[in-house]
Amino acid sequence: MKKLILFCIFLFAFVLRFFRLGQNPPSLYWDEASLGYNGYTIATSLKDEHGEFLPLDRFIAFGDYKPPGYIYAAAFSIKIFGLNEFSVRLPSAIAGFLMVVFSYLLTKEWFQKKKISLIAALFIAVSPWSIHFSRAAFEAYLAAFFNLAAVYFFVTSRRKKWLLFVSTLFFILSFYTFNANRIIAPLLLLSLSIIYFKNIKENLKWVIISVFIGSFMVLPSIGFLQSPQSKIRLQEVSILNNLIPLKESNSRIAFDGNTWWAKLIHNRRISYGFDYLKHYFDNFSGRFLFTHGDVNPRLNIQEMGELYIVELPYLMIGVYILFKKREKALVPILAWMAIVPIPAGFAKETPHALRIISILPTYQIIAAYGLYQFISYFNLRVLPLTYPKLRSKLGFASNSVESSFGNPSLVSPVVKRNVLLFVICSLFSVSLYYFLHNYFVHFPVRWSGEWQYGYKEMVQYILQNEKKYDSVFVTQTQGRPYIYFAFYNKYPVNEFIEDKIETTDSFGFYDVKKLGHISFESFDIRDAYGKILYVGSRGDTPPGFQTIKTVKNLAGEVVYVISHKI
Amino acid sequence: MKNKIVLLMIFLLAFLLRFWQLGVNPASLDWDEASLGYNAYSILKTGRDEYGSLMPLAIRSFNDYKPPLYTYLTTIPVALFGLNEFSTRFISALLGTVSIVIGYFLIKELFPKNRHPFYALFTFFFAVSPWHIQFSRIAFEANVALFFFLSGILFFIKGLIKGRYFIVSCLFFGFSMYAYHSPRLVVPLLLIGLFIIYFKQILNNWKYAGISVLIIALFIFPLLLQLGSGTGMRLGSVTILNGNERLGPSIKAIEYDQSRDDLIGKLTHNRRIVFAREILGGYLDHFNIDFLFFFGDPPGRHHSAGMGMLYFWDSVFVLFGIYFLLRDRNRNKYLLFWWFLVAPAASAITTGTPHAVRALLYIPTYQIFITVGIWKFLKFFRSYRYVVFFVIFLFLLNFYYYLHMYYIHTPIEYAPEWQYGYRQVVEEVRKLEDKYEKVVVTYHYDQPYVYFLFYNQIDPTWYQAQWNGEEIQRSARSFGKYEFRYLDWEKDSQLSQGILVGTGEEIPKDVSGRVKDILFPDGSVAFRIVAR
Repeated sequence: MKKLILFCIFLFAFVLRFFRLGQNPPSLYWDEASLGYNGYTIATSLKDEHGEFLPLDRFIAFGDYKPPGYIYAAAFSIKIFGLNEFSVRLPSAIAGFLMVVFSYLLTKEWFQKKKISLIAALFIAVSPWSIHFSRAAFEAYLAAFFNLAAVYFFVTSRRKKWLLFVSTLFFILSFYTFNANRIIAPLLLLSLSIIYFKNIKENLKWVIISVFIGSFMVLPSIGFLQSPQSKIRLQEVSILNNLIPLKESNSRIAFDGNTWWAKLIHNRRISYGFDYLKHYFDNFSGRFLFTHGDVNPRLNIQEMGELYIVELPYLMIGVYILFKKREKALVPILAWMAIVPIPAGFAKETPHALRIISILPTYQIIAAYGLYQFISYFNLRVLPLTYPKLRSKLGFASNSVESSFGNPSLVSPVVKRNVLLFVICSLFSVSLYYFLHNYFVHFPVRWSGEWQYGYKEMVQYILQNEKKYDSVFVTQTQGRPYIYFAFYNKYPVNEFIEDKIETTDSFGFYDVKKLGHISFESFDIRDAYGKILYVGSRGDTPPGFQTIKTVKNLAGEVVYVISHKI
Repeated sequence: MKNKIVLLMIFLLAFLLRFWQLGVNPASLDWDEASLGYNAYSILKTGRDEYGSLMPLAIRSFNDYKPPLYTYLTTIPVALFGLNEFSTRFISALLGTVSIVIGYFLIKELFPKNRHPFYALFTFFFAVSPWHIQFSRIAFEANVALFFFLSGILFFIKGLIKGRYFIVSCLFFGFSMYAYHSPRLVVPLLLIGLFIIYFKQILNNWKYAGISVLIIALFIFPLLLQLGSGTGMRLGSVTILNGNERLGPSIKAIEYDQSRDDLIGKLTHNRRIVFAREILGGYLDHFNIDFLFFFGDPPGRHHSAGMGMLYFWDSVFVLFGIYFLLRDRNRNKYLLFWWFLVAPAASAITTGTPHAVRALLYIPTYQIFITVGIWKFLKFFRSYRYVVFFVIFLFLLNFYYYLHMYYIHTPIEYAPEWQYGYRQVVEEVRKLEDKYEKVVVTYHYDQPYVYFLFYNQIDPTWYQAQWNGEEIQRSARSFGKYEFRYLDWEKDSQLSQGILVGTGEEIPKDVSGRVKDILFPDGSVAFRIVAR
């Protein structure tokens, strides 16, 4: 029976993640396209788009220096399924499915109760946070899965010692897959080693192997992590660039006459410390988790929080009982939840659903535990009070327990329990419906612009017709058009490197301004001669051009106007 | 005896923290305070508010229809000390101090099995709470409402044993609803919870309970009538439930679902769901860590610079306290948690969450949690002296930091938030105005007229006669020789025989006839006065 339920949950998780995978989110946004194209060039020629041979430390991509994990994963799926939306997103979707499996396993390992594990698996299977991110190519989500697997194998290494090494491998995979995990992985590994110190002590052989091979595997990234390029992105988003706390602390110190104690209590490190803590704890704010979610429409459907609001009571019950029963899982779960937002707290935009996604599935595990405890409390404590036969059966003298539920009723406890379960299930079903309806029906339509919708149609039209023209100009309004031309054209990497003319801006971001005879800068359109094809946005068609096609996004707004002069 | 001395010391500390430099820090009255003061003055002299309504049940003020109790109570100190900053803020400071005493009796009722040091500890934490001190030192109605609210709870618990106290309790609850907006929602919610929690005891005193329900109903009835007019307008201006922009996307989504014949899907965009989500979000905001412990809410009037609503030190003990209280067998814990949960309810339906004033009724639940937490903590570590001393040292450091920030840096950094400078402007203008026919004052810092009424102590009878019932434009008022509006320098510089009061940006630095610049405490220009 339980196996059947488990199978159904896995099937459900699979369907939720693979159904229309390439169509919703409605289109590839530029990072996805970039991951895809780099995966394609690796799969076909073992080089990235810049011609580097199998980079291990980072991919230059747009000059944002992407970690390599996702690209290699995508390379495999692209090799099998060809270069398309589905294959780019496949690693994420598989990670999403496997996360459900490993959540089940980890919960079982921690609590030794199949029921809790089933609920946990179900919760993560229907979690909006998990579904949303596993349906698009997000490096962070793949890293979150590696992170979960690493924790699972670490905990399981109590029984099978060699799994400690597997755990280290997964931590290293997460390290190579998403920037935040470069901080999360070592911290979490360290804390788990302290928490499970007893087991680690008895497992010295595998500890030594893991440390040795592990540090060997981290080596390739050291050079890059120390380079200035790796810090650009960090500096761009860091709260330490905010000068207000510094000015504030300086003016306060000056006002207090530059005394030593003023320098102590108004120290800028304290100001920045508080600023950091604010950003860190933003990631636990109720509005973010339960009602509104991340404000970025690419990261949340904007109609609900990252978790279901109906999970809130079970989360609270779960935390309380974890403490009360001093469950062994309590400390590792809390350490996990506390560590994951540490890197995200340094960034200005908090809360951030993507950077802290490695926190999955802790919330779901706690909620599952809470729900289980709630139902068993109801079964063992509340029901007997209302049913005389059960009361005496369980050893309550019939009048010794004062019933605060009125007279013992004649309704069978089984019925009452089923009513309770029915209520809980319907609340969850309604929430799930709310999410799925909004996600599949409204999200792609309302926010297609956020996914740079329109590139595919436009690029495919241009690719079919470009030979008829002497030069082609394409607007940059949606950003980085070159990657879509490379992606949909399946540009062989050697030709791509030869054909492109690149630029680098002052922040080190890289862009291509011309690819073959397609130019992405339109200011020299006046000097162009012969037949010209021009792709502009609405209303900027140059004089003398004839509109031949418009491209709309799903909300019906015109994104591109294609015109030509013959 | 020793216990009594300790308590007296705590009460004295509470008194000092609330009355020391009252009227001087915060450095100036904000517009609401000035309006409360002048309306009290007006009622004291004429029995009517500034608009000439006789003994109103809502003070119209800036069309925000303030609950009346604070104004009526303030007539007493205004009569005693004259109309000034001290007398305007006096009631808040006084009832804030008395609240600490009420808090002491309340904790005794809530935790009957604990010992005296526990009660004293709580009273101390309540007395030094930055959140409570902040609002006890300014003329904000919420603090008076809190006093009545606390008294109501105290007498309710007493009523569980002696039924007639229910009546006292309901009187206090009733008054709290006339002191501030929030209790109008929170009190009914709290009472419903209390009714369920103490069902049996209430049933034993059903006669008194019945009378109390009648009393509460009597208090609520006029409020319901007001919903159509004044109070309703205030609610309308701050609530999140009227935002058309919030419904825009959901209306579009409904139309889209209709075009697809998706009738079930349509239900998910129902405006009740949209609103429920907004309310819940606003509600949850009140549990934000940075609101409570780091930075408070955005308006600088609500907290000291560099502080949240509680001490940073408190953060751990709040969690301890909640956990241990959950495990406690004390039945009153349900009351406490229900109170804790409904306190931000009124604030949740408004914009600008979290909101320290609208959620003031939280106090002193946090302080109770802290007391329980630190009590358990000290008990656990009582044989480790150095741990205890270290914790006390950290607290003292935090307390010192708070006082330092409150008295030294806040008056300078947050002066603009308190509309600093109007008093000096009025005094300066008073010296000059006899020689001129017209005084034009900028509206830039909002509601300048009320400061001229307040500091010039303009005769209310005369002022009431100035208004003939027509609609009032917020940013263009005038009475006597005064005119209040935004300055337009190109035009206004032509003015002869008049005084111009503008901001540093509105009036250029080097103009002829410049009388004086009024500076903020940090040295930037607040007002520039020109006389021609």
